[in-house]
Amino acid sequence: MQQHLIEQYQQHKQNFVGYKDEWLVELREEALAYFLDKGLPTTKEEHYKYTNLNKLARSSYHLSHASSSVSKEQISNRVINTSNNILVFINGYYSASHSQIVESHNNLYIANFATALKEKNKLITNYLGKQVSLDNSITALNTVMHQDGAVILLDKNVKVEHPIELVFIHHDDDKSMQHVRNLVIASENSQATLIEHHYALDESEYLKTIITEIDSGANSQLNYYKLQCENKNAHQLSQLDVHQHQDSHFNYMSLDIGGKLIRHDINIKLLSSNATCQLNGLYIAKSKQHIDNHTCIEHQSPYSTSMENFKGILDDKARAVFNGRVIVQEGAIKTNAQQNNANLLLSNDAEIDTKPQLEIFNDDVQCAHGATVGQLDEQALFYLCARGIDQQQAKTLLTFGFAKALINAISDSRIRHKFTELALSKLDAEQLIQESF
Amino acid sequence: MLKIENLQVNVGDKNILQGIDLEVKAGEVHAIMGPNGSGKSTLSNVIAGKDGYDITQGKMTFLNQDLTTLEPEDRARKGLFLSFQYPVEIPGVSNIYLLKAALNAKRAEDGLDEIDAFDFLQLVKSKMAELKMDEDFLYRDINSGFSGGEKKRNEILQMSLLEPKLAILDETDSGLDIDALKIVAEGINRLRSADKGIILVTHYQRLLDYVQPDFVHVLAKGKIQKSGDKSLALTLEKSGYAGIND
Repeated sequence: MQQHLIEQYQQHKQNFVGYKDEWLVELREEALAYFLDKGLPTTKEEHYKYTNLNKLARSSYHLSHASSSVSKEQISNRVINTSNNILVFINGYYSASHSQIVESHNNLYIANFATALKEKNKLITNYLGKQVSLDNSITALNTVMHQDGAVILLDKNVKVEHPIELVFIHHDDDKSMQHVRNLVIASENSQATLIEHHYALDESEYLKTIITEIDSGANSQLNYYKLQCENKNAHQLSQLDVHQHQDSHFNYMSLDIGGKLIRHDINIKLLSSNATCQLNGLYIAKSKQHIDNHTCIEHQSPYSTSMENFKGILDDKARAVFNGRVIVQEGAIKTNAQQNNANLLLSNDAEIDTKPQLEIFNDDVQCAHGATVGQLDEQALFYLCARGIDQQQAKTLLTFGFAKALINAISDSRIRHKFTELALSKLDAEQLIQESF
Repeated sequence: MLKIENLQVNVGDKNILQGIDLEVKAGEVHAIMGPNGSGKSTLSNVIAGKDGYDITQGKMTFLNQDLTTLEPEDRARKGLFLSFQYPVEIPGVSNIYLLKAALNAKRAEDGLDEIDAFDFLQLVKSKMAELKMDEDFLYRDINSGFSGGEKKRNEILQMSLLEPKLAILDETDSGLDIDALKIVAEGINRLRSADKGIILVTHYQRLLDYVQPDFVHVLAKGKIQKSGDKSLALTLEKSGYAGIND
């Protein structure tokens, strides 16, 4: 992949966003040097022990092409609400004609990266790459090749009324790659809800990397939802890095139903006291899908809280990985960290590797973790069948029932509905949608 | 309607039922009594079609159909109902969903359309009122966090909604205080009619004070040791199961 990446970089660098900004070109080339040196991680590295990128490393991907064949309906069918703020990226490129910013004022800035680089150059220079350090190959790859992404800047006290939906659509030929870079800066007391969508309009094979950097200011409240519905030949490598300041709240909920090989790295730094994060995730995998969630929460200050709850449903030969690392630093007294990972295996060939990893450097903390792996409850299955419900439907009910509490924790009804709809479609149980509300 | 002849059932290597003969006709209420470990729950579960039981000999028919070839859901749709000794908690599936799905499955079997949502709600609410159940129960997950008494009442609610042709009530009286026992017994009595059969499986005779059986059978060591009318239950209450084998 390395050699091919040099060619791709040389071929496209004149067209990249910020190709005239010296600092950004330097950043890209520094990242290129890093990537050429390290390549993609191998299973010899502990944090990639269960996720094998060898095949990916041996393949060559070309930078994605712009596509003009995506209709407005193909977007409006997928978003949560057509009256929200919507930024659409097709094959990694911003599409102004599919996007709409319904809320715009002096204290709120929502734009694509290329525009923001012109209009908010100084700010971006200060922030980009600050949350994410160039210490891994995925970041490096994304930094070299990133095409566009969203930039969201919330000034002090801004409350964004309408959720901001970031829609990433793939529609390209085989072996394309796209690289997305998002930046969110939420100043003191600000509030917003963001939704990141991933869909494909064809079955072609592709590689997508997404890096999202978030700076969550004092007393800010951010809800971040991620819906990953890539096609069955997709590889998605994503990284979310959040820096949380005093009294800030960050709520995250993801749904993974798509993709062939999916890896998410979610890194939260609770920098100041009383910062709270809630990380929830649901992954449903079938056939030979591979879904890996790696979370790392670092408690750096006193009185900070992290709550983590990931659930998985695995069928056929699907495989999932959950690695939940929690670091409690020396001064971070009164830390409260709770982690849970529950898995339902519907086939004998499905596999889950779940690993809690707690590193605690002071005594005055409350930390708990739990991991469970189970199958459908035979007693419950018989109970439902004994009431006349056919066995297949009973299995579906129990399977969805396993995940339902996690989805029902979503406070926004439209977003909850979308998660429900997508989860049910993955479980071939669309008929349950009416019964879920 | 239910006819069992020489039924022998193994669980693993163990011979639990060693030749049961039982016939329940429409309009009859049968009580099956017996000490712990006599095979009462095995009999109930085998009739309802639970997995894990190996029928080695005998016949079992319901409305002249061979029961052993039917799946549990088909038995239920044909009008067989088992009230569980230990109703299962099912997180993530609401009570109202189960009630409606169960009723519609039975209606489909009877060639009827799905019940109208409004009619259903009216019907289920009237049944709940009879059982003095709070409407909140509809929207809670099946049996999740219910007390023992609430679970049993929920079983009776399902039964009264489905109006089965044959109901088997497995230890429905256990864990009920006297008020709940009366409410549950009234529920059972409401089902009682010329075209329905009821089997009460119980350890004690106190439920039989409220639901008077036509026949009482004593099950012990995998066999029906003695059959009689309701006076047999009173004899048992006085002298226990010890003397029955003789």
